[in-house]
Amino acid sequence: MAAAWRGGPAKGLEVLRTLPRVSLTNLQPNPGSRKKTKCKRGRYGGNKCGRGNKGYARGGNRPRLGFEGGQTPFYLAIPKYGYNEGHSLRRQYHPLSLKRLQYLIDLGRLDPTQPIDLTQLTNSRGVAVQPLKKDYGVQLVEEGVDIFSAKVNIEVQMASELAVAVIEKNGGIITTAFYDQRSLDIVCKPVPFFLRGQPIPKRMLPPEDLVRYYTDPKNRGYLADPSKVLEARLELAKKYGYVLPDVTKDELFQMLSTRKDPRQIFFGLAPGWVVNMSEKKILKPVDEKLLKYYSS
Amino acid sequence: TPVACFAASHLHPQGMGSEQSWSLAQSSCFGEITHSPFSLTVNSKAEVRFHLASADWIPEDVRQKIAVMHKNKISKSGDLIINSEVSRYQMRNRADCLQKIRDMILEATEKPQVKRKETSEMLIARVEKMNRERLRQKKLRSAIKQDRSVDFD
Repeated sequence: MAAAWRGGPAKGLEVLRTLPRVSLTNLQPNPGSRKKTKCKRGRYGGNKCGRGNKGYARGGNRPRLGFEGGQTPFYLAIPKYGYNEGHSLRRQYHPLSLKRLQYLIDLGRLDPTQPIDLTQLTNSRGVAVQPLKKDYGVQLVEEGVDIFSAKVNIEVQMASELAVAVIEKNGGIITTAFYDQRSLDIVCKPVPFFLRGQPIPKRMLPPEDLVRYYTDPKNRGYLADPSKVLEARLELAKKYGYVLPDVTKDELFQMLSTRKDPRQIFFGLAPGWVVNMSEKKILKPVDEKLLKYYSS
Repeated sequence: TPVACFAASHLHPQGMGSEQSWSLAQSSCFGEITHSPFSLTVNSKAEVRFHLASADWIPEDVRQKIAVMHKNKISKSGDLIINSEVSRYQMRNRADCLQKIRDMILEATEKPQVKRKETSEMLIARVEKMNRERLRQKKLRSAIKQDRSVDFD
């Protein structure tokens, strides 16, 4: 067999043509993947059967895991400290590197001519967000800063300064927005939500400790003053030494400047609407009280 | 397009709306360094260099001061060279280089602090007071120690 493989892929294909068809009778696991269990009977497998002489280990009566013969075991000797205290309640943001973003755009999985949102990222399987595991969204990370060259209108939950700078340098726009757990679940899995037949809820505002983050123009927060955001763009351009491209003169300015309302979950759909997937219809509320509630 | 229920205008009534803000951007697009320092890059090290003598955007006296303070960074042809390899990202290194240039200019623009007469007088008065207090305490201590002694009379 070795002689045939030395020829390369062409020779391999030749050999494949002559070999019999693959069926249950000629399947075999990779050599070395399945190890034969040694039977403990007679001559050399038997006698003490790998258990040694006397003692409790022979009869299978060993003490619990971690026991050190009476000495204070390691797991009790080391004092407690709250490194992981409340870890299950901490907000987590799945990192999205610029390298991966560029990869997705290059492969055509993400469309840069449309605003890129968590929904788009999830649909293209670019990120896997688990709202039940205390994921609050996605954060933009700097890996791939030197390679990134795509003009996008992107909305993430957190972004570092350098990532923001690179996106703006390439003529794009970045916004950081907050999604509460329910809205996040809806944004990441829109179709199962629509199949439930519930009206789209309004997105909740961020909690106290995040309000400061999302009202800061430096973080391009969605609750920040738009004019201050523009000032921050200029400042960042000065800091990193690039000329800020004029977005207003861009042909895709309309698309780039589209932003979601703070209470909106989906582009093009307002809270309170019900999406009927089977009949492909959208039902909007008519009652005054409902309209007042959903527009507050 | 759906109803803007909680528009940003409610949050920032004093600020300009988003449409007006975009027109602002057209007027001031350029950063502070608008001349052309070219940045050499090898992997992720960033180097910024520019001819110091012909840099019109720096005042003359500041330029001369920089030439004196950082003469080790000036090449034979008169280029001021600044390197940075702080991080693995070229952009960040470049930003660091620019920050270094800004710091250099700031250092060179510093004027020597002229000490006001009142300040120097105040300082001298302080020192004299400290000395007076020290001597007073010393005399007190000496008196206590003398009281402790017993003379064989």
